[in-house]
Amino acid sequence: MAQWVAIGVLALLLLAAVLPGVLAPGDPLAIDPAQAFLSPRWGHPFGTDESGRDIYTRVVHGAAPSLVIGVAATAIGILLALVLGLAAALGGRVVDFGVSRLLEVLFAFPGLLLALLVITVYGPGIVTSTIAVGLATAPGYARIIRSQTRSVASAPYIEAAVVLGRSRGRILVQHILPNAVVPVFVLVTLGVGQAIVWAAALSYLGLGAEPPAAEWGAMLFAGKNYLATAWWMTFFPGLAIVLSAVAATVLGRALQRRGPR
Amino acid sequence: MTHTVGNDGAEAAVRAPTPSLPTPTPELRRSSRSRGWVIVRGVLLRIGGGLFVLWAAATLTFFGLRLIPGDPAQAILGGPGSQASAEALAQVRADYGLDQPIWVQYIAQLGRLATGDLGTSYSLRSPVAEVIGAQIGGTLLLAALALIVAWAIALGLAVWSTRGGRIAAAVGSTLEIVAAAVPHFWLATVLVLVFSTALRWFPAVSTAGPEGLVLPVLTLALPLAGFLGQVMRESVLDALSAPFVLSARARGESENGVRWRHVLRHGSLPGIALSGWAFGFLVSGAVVVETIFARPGLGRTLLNAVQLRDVPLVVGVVLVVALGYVIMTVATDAASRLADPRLRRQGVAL
Amino acid sequence: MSGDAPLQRRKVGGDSESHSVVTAETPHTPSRSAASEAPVVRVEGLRVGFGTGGRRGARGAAVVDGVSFELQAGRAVAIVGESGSGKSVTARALVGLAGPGSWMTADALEVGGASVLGSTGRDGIARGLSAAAWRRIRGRQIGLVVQDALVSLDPLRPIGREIGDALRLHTSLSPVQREVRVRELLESVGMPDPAERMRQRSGELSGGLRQRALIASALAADPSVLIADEPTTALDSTVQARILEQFESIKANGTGLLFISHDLAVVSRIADEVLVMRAGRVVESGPVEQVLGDPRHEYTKTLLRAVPTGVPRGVPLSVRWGADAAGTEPTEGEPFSTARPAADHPTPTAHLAGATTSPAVTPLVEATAVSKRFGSRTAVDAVSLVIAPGTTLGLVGESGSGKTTLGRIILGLTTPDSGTVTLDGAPWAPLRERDRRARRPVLGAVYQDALSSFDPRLTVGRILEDALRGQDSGSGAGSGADAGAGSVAGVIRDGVAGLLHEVGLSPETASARPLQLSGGQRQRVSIARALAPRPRIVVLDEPVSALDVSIQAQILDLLDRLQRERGVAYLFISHDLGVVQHMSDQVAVMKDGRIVEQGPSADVFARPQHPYTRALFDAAPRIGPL
Repeated sequence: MAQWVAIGVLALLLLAAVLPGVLAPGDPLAIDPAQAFLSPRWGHPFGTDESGRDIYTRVVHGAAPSLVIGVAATAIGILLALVLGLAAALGGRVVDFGVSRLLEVLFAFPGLLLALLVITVYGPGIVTSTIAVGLATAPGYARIIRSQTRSVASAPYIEAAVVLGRSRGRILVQHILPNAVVPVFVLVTLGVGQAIVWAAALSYLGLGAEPPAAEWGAMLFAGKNYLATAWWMTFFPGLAIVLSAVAATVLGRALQRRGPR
Repeated sequence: MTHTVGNDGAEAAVRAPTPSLPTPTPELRRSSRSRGWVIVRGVLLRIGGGLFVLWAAATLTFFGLRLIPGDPAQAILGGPGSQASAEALAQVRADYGLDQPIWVQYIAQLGRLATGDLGTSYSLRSPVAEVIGAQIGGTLLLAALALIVAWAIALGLAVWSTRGGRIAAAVGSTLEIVAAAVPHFWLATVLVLVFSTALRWFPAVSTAGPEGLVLPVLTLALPLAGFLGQVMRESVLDALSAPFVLSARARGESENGVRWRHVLRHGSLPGIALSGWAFGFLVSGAVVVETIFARPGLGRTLLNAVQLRDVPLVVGVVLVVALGYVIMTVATDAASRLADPRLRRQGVAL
Repeated sequence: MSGDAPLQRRKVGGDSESHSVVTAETPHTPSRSAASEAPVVRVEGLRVGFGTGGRRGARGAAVVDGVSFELQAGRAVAIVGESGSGKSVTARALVGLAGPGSWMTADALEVGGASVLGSTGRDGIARGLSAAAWRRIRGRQIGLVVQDALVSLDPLRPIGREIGDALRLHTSLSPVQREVRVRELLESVGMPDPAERMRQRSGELSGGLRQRALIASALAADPSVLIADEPTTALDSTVQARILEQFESIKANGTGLLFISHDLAVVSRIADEVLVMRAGRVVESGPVEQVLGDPRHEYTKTLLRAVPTGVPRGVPLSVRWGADAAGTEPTEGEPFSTARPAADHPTPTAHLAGATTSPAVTPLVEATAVSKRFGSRTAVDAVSLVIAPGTTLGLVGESGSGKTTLGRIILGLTTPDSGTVTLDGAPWAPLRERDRRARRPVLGAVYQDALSSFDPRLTVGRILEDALRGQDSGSGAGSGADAGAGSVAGVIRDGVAGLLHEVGLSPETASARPLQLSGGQRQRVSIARALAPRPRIVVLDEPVSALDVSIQAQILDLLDRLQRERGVAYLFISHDLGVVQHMSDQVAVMKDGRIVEQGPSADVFARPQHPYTRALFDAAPRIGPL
């Protein structure tokens, strides 16, 4: 049941990202100072911000950038992790040793810190923060992919293929890679939710997307100065982030349970 | 009776079995003789690995930061905007050794790090080690309290939700997933809105007193509790369906006894193993939480340093965190081995 | 304080009303089992099921349906059956631990003369005792040795604490007194050096010692009934024999024993009475001599016939069931090879290779002084063996003897440290895998855990198709199978159907995934895959160890028939002497990496030379003269 709710939330998110006009026909950047700081009401269900922009419209239009950042960051992280993890698992002892040490070192820069280092080097901004989140999540994925691939590569059915006289290359293509890569889709699903949260955190700290943009993290950043007077400015963008992250997690877990054994 | 009754387990455990045993397998005999050594060797290997990680972290940051475009001397004198004279730039280069070949700078940097000298902050114009020394206490207190609170919540939730039937299980797992997915900054916002703005129980801006710690600690602890709760519940469920629990029930053990004597320990094992990771999670969170609640600490210092691109300070904080992470992993590894005798018999997985 | 083994102390705590407490140490106290005395357990019309489903008594089907028996003190009742027969559920229902969501009804269910049914609801389902009342019975009146001895003690706690828990719960002994008592208990179940062992955790003990500790924990509070659920199943046969002796002495001490097992041979040694269960019902019961010696019910006969011990080579073990029974046994059977009549003793079919290898024939496999070490442990130690075409070499040994490693060396999966293996006269190991690959089709393999040997993404059809496409010969030729277009694909499809037919599976099985099949069906698929490249030898590593006896019999018969039809040779690896004896022309007995004895099966089994072989033979449970 829960996964159907999750799929529904994600479908809504996707609709908001692709066709925001369907859900919110207004302009997310339209300023109306006379309507500033309105609390949630008919016409402005999520209220308005300091320039009188409609928060609901902005949340809907913010889905696209937030989702793109989340997906792009996850893609960077997963691709890097695939290279590292597969190389470590299949590349022999020397490669495995090297990659494992590298991962250990990267683990010493926990999550956000690695991202902050990257931002220190390349300066703040939406592109840097996306890359930073991708890089910061890669070590964790790489370790999971490495151990999954290793367990596939040492599975009895791989030996059964050897006994049938299959070559290494054919076993790799026919049995190891398909079985090792399938669980990666679960990782991606779980990862997108987390990436959205991390990217929003960077924006919230003023290191990611810049405030006028209708991006959830940037909206939070703009709203944090008015927390005491206009709670809706931070509450609703944050709720959108939480809903997306929870939905992705629930769906990821459902996929995980359904996966082969 | 040759042995005194009431021997404590640890002493008896390291004693070699008497040779009169009929069929101990060779592995068992070897393991019980050398178990003390295995633990010591494991810890030594861990410390060696930790030193390697620290060296590699220092090297990585040193060379990584060479990638920053622009002249470091310029940055020291206040960034590209400052109209520093050529003489001033040359002076700075000589002071900071920036005119030396890069490997000389690298060796010098390692030497300074080994003696605890983390350099001088560009922005604060004071030694990085001093800045960190002044800020680290608050962050450690925050992280430690959050870890304890998260542990208590996670274990309590895991044990409770596996007991109260299907509804409790659903409530428990939903709470865990939501808690794990909630970002610190939004949780902080909601907590402030409810407990500070509306109820006026706790201050929104962190004060020196203990009441100022409540909301920051909760903000840090709840998401961590969600993550820990998920893994702990899994191992609690595994333990509950394990044959040894059936065995305990068949002995006449009560439900409380089963949980207290058997399940709780099994449930806490993955939590212990994850504490090293949790440290990193808490430090990441501290950056956000300290900023929101305006608490002095390492996280806020780091964020300021990143915004000002104060490279020595950023590197200093990151290396100190890496050191903390290494210490935590060694500690959790030792704790895991202490709590789970099965791990002691295995070699060290490096 | 440690000297006075306090006999009187063990009376405290429990609500021991009528029956006397019998000491565990003095083996030959006059037992309390006067036949006239009240039974310690009386069960009448017990029904247990799961899934109360809706709240209006819409309960699931009974998995235990009408079981009745009486257990006297000092006697043993055995419940025999295959997996899913309901025997374990019966045992656990007696202590109120049938499982979550279970329901129970009975005409009578008495422990020590008192009913444990509690009040009975309007729907006929017994409310059962209160949790607290059950806890006073568990451990105190009925001890339960649960299944899976190897994992039934908490791995994080010393066994002394585990055993002491029963004393803590049911007696008022002080911690120090408990420790003394635990040591006595461990001594009484034959644990060597109990003072040392009681501080160890179960992971530090061998399987046999874990089982002893578990028995000690079940006996700790001196219950009058001991239920043992498959207590010897995961153990090596020599260890099994010693554990059985332990149960015999427990019985002699006057404890009533309820023994659950799938193993008729074990049951014949320990039981006074036997209940044969099938699909939740008792199909036959009575004194052990009668049930096992002169069975009335078809199912009992099938079970007895399925036991391979002492059955000559070539005599089928399985029988097709009568029409009524076949309907209830949908998963197994050989629908396409029903030629064998259900005659009592069909004549053995002649094996083409005969019993002995003539020296003139080139050996198919020849291993010479093969050794393999893992770290400091020598798994295989200078082993030599020969397998002639079309014959079976049985390799028998206990766990850790190195038989699986030897099998892997012959399969070319593990490289020996020294020594050589030749296949069909040509070098086989050590050899580079690339040079070996072209000759791989000569060799097939069947594993104990068939399921994990299949790629989880593939259907049975795809698995067999894959096996039928030849091996990779050189560069890229393997992928050429697709280029062969329709004709090749058609041939392969026919091949899959043919293979399935040959191993007695229906053609529809091709579209199933291995996960959806029963254990026996999976092993049939595994055999079909091994045979697909038309090998001349198949290495079978414990191929029937995970199967029920009746299924085991079918698989053994299948292997036997395939050998006759295809002239394939087997290396049959097993811990089970009876199976090896039934299947093998030649036998090799392995211990600690060495082959201690080998020769023609008939000779070795008739006149074992090596002391270890004799010990193994003596320990092997068989259905003795009843």
